[in-house]
Amino acid sequence: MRLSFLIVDDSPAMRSFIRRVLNLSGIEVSECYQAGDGVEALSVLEREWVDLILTDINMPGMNGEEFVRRLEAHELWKTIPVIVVSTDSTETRIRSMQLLGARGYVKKPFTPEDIRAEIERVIAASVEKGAI
Amino acid sequence: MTRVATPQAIEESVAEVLDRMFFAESVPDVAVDCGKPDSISMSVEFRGAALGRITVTVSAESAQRLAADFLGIEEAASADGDTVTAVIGELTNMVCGAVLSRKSSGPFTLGTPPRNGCGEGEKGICRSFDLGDGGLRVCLEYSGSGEAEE
Repeated sequence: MRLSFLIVDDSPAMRSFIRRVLNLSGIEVSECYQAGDGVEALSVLEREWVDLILTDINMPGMNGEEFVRRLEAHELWKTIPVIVVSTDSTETRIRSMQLLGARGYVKKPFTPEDIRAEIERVIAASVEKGAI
Repeated sequence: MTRVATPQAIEESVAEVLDRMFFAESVPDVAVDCGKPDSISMSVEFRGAALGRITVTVSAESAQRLAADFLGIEEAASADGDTVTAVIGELTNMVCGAVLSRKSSGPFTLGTPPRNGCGEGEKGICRSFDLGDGGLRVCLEYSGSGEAEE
């Protein structure tokens, strides 16, 4: 299955790294859009459909929490699975992002195998629900 | 949540970040030569269950190679200065997050790491690492809350 992604992170270096890791992980990527914060990400979603979103939390402008909240409030966008990719791997943060609607969580630092395993888990759950 | 002593948290975090994101290894307890003006030093402030700052200083040669490894650039020398600085900023953020995740179960917020002068911000509990082609030094300084220890 070829998947389209939206990577949301305020660091261009981290976005490049995640894009590279997607390639290294062996996942088939059809399109990979990038955004520097939640506002830019919503703007991308106005124009393009993606199968999965990878987002950071701590970002200037609209942070990851507000971004996920906006997605959940949208009739169509709430069906797109969101995986949080963050340095904050505390239990409280993971739980709060899951309550907001995130379906997966990858803590930085991560390996290509970590990303692949979480994407496969989240995609499988979404396919089962008929969302993809 | 397993709480570990700060020096151990720093050592584990540096090893984890370098291994997973930079495909590099480190040896603790080797002093980094911070006398060279082209070393890169960055600090990130954290707030949440604890308040404070983590400073990461990397020698120029190591910073160049780490940036190339992070971004998959074959020739380390072709990574420009802004790119190297951005990657060391990410390294600083990840080390900070990894240390805090070992020290506390509460969520935290990180600022954007500014670049310091070499040696600036090196306060609190520090650990140095040999990266083979240079050195890396991490210092953690608490400025408030009950998390301050050791």
